[in-house]
Amino acid sequence: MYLIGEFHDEGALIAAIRGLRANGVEPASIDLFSEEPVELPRGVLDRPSRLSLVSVSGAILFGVFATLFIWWAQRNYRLDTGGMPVFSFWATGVITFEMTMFGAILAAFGWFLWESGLIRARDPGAPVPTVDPGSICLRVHCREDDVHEVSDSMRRAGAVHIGRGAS
Amino acid sequence: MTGSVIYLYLPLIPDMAQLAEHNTPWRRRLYRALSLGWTGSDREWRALERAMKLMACIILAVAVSVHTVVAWDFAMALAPMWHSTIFGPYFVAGAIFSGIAALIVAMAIIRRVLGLELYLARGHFDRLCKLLLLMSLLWFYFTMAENLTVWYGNEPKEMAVFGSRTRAHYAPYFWTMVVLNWAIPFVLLGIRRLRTIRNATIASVCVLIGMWIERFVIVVPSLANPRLPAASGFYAPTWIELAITAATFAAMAMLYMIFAKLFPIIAVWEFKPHPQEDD
Repeated sequence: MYLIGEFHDEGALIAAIRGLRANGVEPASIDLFSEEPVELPRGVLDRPSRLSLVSVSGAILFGVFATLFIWWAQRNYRLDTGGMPVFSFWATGVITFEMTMFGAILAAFGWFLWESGLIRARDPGAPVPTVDPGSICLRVHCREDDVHEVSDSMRRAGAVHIGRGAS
Repeated sequence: MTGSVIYLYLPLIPDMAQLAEHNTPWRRRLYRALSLGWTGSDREWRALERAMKLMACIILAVAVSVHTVVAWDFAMALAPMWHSTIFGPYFVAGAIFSGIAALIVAMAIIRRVLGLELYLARGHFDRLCKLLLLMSLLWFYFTMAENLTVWYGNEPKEMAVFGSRTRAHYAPYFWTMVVLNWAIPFVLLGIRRLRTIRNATIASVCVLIGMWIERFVIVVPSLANPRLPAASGFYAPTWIELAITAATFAAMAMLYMIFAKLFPIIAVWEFKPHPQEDD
């Protein structure tokens, strides 16, 4: 069961989220819908992210791959370097750097798609509210037994409208 | 290229989700596919903002490296007046300089043609003008540093190129470049009273022409006065080369117009109308 509360005031929204969290509703069960990003104070509805970590990992992976590939190619397809080293890290540093950045970009974009949920399977029954300009909708996933409690919590906080959605 | 396309695509996603609701059928299909089912949830917004911040940092590093590598292609050639350690930062500064100029010209045209006076306000132009002025001064400093050391060093092969640039065959190009890239922006953007949107556009067009001439001045005199005297000569473009150059400009303009026709030219969710201002 989904409940959707509509708010016109950010303070009321924050109070509603705090009330729901105090009643035991998990952050994973709460979603906000708005026409533009909503800045909430730290601790209200944090969404931990691993984007930076994944991006750095992608950069290291591609950087190491590029270095090894260059090393392999220069050893196996030897050029006459006139006594200079066959493999030179600094001479191919530009390629390594570009590949490192390429890895960071691909990893960041891929993780953005995953973390935002755009490429993940969604609950087909989860309603997506139509948000009017200036309003913010709070969608809560709850059990049938908790509907009244969640609904009261949102109304007390200042929701201007509360509706039900299919589960 | 991949990074730039992704960086351009990210802020378009929320707008394309809105465009998918009210449009012709084929456009609806296009925007729906490109918006990837964006719903406007806080998870999506937060992930988008984080990704945009991260991509901005990565793109900055890539932009510096890309322009530096182009400069190193010249600097490692041992040709007179190319073999310079400041070519990397010189090219990076030049790219930012001409990039800001192109941005101001595009903004001025879009503002006028699409009637976006409330979104692209005078304050935006004013701040970009200050940045353009800063880059103009930086460009002048680099140009001075580059040419002064060559002149003072008095190395014969380099002086042949330096002389052809500043006093002989290619002098009109060189001095036109200095006037367009430094003198005109310095006057139009440095004096607050003159810093209007129209003058900013004029200065930016001058910078774009000046930066094109800069590439000509870097490439042609060095190739026309190489280290082997037998290969010396003069260069003037043929009509074929002029046509190819014109075609590249036309192709770029066409691609930009197609993009402006299909996609929001400013991110709607990021911009709010500004109070009406006088130019």
